[in-house]
Amino acid sequence: MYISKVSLVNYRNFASENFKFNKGINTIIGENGSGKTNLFRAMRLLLEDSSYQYAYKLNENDFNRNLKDWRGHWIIISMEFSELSSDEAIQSLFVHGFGVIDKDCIVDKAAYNLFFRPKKDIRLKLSELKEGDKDGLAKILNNITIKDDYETFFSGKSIVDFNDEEVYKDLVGDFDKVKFKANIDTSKYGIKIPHQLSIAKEISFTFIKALRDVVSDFHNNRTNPLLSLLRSKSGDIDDTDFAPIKEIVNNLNEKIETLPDVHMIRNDIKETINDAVGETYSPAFLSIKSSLSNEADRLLQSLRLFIAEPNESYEGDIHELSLGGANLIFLTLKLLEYKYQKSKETFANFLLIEEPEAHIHTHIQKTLFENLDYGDTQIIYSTHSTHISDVSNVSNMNILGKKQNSAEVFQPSNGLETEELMKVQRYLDAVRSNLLFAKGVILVEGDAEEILIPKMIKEIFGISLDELGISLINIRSTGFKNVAQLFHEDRIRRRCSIITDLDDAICDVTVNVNDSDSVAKYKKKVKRSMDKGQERRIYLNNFSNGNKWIEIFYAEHTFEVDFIKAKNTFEVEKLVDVIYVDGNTIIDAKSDINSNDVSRYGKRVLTMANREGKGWFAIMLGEYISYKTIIPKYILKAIIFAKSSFSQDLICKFVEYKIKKYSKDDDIDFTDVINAIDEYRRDATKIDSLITKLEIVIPEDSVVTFLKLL
Amino acid sequence: MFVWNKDELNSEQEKAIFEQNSVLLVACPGSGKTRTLIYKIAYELSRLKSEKEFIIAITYTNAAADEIKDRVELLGVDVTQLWIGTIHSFCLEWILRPYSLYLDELKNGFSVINSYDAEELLEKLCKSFEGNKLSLYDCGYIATHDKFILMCKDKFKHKNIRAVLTKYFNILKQNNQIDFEMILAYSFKILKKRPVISQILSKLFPFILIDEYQDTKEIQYHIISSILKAGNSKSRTLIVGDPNQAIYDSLGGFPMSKSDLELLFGFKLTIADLSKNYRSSSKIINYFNAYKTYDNKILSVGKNKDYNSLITFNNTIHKDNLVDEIVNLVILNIKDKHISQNEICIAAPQWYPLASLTRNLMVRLPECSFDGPGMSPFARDIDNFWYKLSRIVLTEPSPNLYIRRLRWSTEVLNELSNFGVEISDFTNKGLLRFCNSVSIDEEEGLEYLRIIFDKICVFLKISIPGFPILKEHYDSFFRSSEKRIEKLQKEGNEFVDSISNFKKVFKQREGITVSTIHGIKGEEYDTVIGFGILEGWVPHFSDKINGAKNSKKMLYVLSSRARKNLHLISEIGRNVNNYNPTGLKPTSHLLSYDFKYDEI
Repeated sequence: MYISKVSLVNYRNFASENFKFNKGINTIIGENGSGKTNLFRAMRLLLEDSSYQYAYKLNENDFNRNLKDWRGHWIIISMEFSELSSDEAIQSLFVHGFGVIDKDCIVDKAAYNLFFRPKKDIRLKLSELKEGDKDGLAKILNNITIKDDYETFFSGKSIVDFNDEEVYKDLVGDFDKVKFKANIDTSKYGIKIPHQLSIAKEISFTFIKALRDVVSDFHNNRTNPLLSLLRSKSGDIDDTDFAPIKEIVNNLNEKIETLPDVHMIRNDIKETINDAVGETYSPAFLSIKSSLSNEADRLLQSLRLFIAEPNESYEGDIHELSLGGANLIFLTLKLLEYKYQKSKETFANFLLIEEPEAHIHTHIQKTLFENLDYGDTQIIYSTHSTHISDVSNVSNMNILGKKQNSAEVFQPSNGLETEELMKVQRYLDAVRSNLLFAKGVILVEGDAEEILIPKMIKEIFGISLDELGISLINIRSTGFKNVAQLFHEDRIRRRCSIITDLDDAICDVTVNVNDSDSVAKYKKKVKRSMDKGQERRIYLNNFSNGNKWIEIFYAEHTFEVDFIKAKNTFEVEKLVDVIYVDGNTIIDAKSDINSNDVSRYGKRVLTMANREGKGWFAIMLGEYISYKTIIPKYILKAIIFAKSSFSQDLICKFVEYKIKKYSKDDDIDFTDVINAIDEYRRDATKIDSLITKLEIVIPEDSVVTFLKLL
Repeated sequence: MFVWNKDELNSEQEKAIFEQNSVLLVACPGSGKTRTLIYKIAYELSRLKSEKEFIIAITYTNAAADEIKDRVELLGVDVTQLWIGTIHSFCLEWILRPYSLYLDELKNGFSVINSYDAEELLEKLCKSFEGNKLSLYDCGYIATHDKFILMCKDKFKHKNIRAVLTKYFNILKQNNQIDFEMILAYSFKILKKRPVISQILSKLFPFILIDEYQDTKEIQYHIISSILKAGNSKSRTLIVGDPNQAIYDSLGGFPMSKSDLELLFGFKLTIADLSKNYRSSSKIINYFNAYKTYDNKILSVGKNKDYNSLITFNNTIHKDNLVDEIVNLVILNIKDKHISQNEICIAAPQWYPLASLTRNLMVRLPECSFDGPGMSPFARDIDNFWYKLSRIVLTEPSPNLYIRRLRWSTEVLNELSNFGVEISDFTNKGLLRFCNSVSIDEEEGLEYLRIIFDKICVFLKISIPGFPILKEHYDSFFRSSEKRIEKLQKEGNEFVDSISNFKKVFKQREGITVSTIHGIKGEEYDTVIGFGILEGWVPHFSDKINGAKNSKKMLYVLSSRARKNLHLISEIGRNVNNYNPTGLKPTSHLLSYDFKYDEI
């Protein structure tokens, strides 16, 4: 049996999301604050013995903030299990409480839910409201408090998808239409769990939290994993084995007590009291006793772990270890604790590990997680480390994205065929990328784009792609589709811009009779590229058609050509001096580049790029990119799509950056623009008037084009 | 493994316990049946291999369940994996509550109407029914594995009864309620609809014990057999009872034969006997032997074996002098035979003569106390939540009662949780502690209960109106109690409403027991005085088919309660009318029994 799905509704930063899991190892990837800990917390509320008390202490802060008013709403945490069996005695109590009996009378799935909801009397009152009676509803809701009117309820055997809005309306009620039901259809939403059932006895569940200060955990009796291991074993110690030890301890206590110095102190105390308060008020008896415990569990707790670092012979206490070493020991002990637990009478084993990267050094992580396989154990770990995400299987992966007050969950492999999946997996295995974490993605195919686009953005807008939350990924020769298919309504719901070349001809490709061989050859080559470009366009357009998360942006010719076409002759001209040594060639080249004739500057720039290698050419070109460089329009569009929205603040920042830059070099009066920014910030004017003002002073600048495109 | 000393059980009892197959155990009266059950349960509990398995014991009454559980606990055995209760609670807890979602009739939730409300509803429907006069007692019905059967023997009434019941069922349906019989019917329906449930349950229950099988109904056999059968002979059973004591024929109970049981279960049963009667003198045993309807051996082995029993039969006394006769018999037993008043029982086949008899006896025998019917100011409706709660608040904290009261407290909390009340903040100990701490200065019993219930609700943060089922139970509890008190007071029991009388209900019974014959099933006394043994009462006049057999069983049960002395009375002058100028005659078996009764 394994956990196949966890659905969260209105819980903390989850408005309504679900996670899907497979057997074996699963990963939850997400940046800090995206809700990894909240997911684990939700799972622990259902599965961890020591967390039940918290299930009954949920409060208004546990409601998702996107609910304008939590009153009357429910928090739902629902867990689905798969691969159950009604034949195995060991599962029967679990099946009795949670098992879903399907139409064919087979039990394969189980459901286990927590509802945090208004108590029955409130629900009854709501159900008595006339449909549409908003005032009546408000009256009831206004008086609701968590303390008096909410309850935690555990149910099993549900069959609905709690993330379905209609399901929520049917179960909880329709707040807009004021329609609430008095009774719950248990065949859909599940039934109360029998009180004989304690989930902790059915499954073994261990949670290993992200730790940053393991040493102090070792010093704390409550959190020291060695102590809990010893405690769990102390009950098993054979009495006859322990008897001699007990005797030694008793002897020891006696011997300590009879030490002459101890005796002396006792007498001195007695005497001093006598002197101070007199015989009448002195204690009748007074003795000093050694209290070394002769109980097995207490004694075992005095044991400590001593460890030597690899390749060292000195055995030291935990606090003497390096942090990484201590972390590793901590994790090991927790894993051992889990193994002990697993050997109990449980039939399913779950191990939740929070951010293992916090425990151990990255190069150990990879080994650990490739080796961490307990067969019948389902392991779910959360991470923000790309190192671990590279090790994990994309089909066992949930990605957590951050949104305002809430999180989004994506299953990147959802709905992909095995073959497609393999391609994605292979790509992810090969390339360490932050593809999975990005808020928006731009896919490019060449080194030039990979090098120059980030450079241009940084110089021209004063902000890096990272800061914009956009990942630019060079897919090289992988083919866009293999990676881009991850971005889909069913999978990663993040925008993905694809930037590619249309390779439209830069010259007339009709071969004339008088064309020389080389000219004819050149024309044929250009024609071939052009035809290929057309094919690519049809292919990619077909691929992205109907997928709102992908859009394709074409350079009319190729990046280098379109770069010049965007009026960036200045930058390329500078390169001519670097690339060519021959004086005549330099003059020819410069004349080509300034020719305004695409067949000339196009051919020239491609010749230069090919001569140096496109990557190297791009690096050299990068040296001359400045804030005045103009970004080709198709790239601007790709960025706008990938980023999806630009805040007012961000726009102002771009413009202010530009003002700062220009003011250094040129004598331009930005007063009107500055005022326009101010008005725009205060919402006094629309962005249009800012654009107008800006266009007057720097009409050619990319920022103007960019703002116009928004 | 649970072990015991050699002298704790006899060889028959041990044999029944050690038998590894499923057993049909026929236990004669006084044979230590309960003791055997308790040891068997303890033994089976200790043999459980998994923490997830449960030993199930089905008893006929809640009181029996309580007693057995107490006694198993006293053996020092952990009872967390023992589930014990009536078939109705079994069905509710293990079938209906967890699986009602699979029946369209129940999937939107249900509650069980308490018996008082169900009767009141039926009574109302009967009254409003035009045409043939019907009474509540005509409307009895039982569920079988495939249909409902009317209990009324008068076929001419059936059409009208069906009409009343149809209305009754509709009203229950509207309120999402089910009654006791429907608990069984729906449970069986669920098991039939989703056979895998029987399979799941059979895995949870390696051993199911059924007590008093002779009173078990057809549908109950079917419910249990579905589970046992699904276990593929891995689930075992012990079926215990005494076919000779099957006195619930009128409610559909009957001892299924070994071969029928085997057919139903799909596996063989080993038959075993408990034939040693430790209770009665050989003279008594010899006497009730004549009323056997099932042939089994009974040996007298107890310390009363050689007691020189008095066995008398009076069929000349007039009903108006009955009190004198009973007073004489009581005095004879107490004075001459040195029998303690706590060990005397007076029993009749019907309730109605008992209340006035008790009152008369109280006047005539002021030195004796009486534990009679109708003295209790409220109905013993174990399924009423407030009755459950009153058990706790009307008993005093004491070490003897601690375990029991703690269990009651758990039951109260579980029941609340079943009703949808959030109780996670409370523990059984906490509730008990609170109940113990409340002191109320109020002499009137019902008012006392109202006040303390209020306080407990505040403590548990419950608003009764918010939970219709609690409200329903609450109203029913107080309405029925008020009616009862009013009636009792009219009959001259002035102080019946005092809180001290309320508290008596749960006190250790004291004094001479006055009860129906059904009410003393399973009990034993030194002296049993039975009256009203009249043709028409024993057997009941409506019982035209099995009357002869059933009256024998009644006599068997009555006579076998006695350890030492037995006095039977068939008074004359009952139900005298134009058609029957001499009134009811003694039960025919008594007349035809050629026994040399003692003269006094």
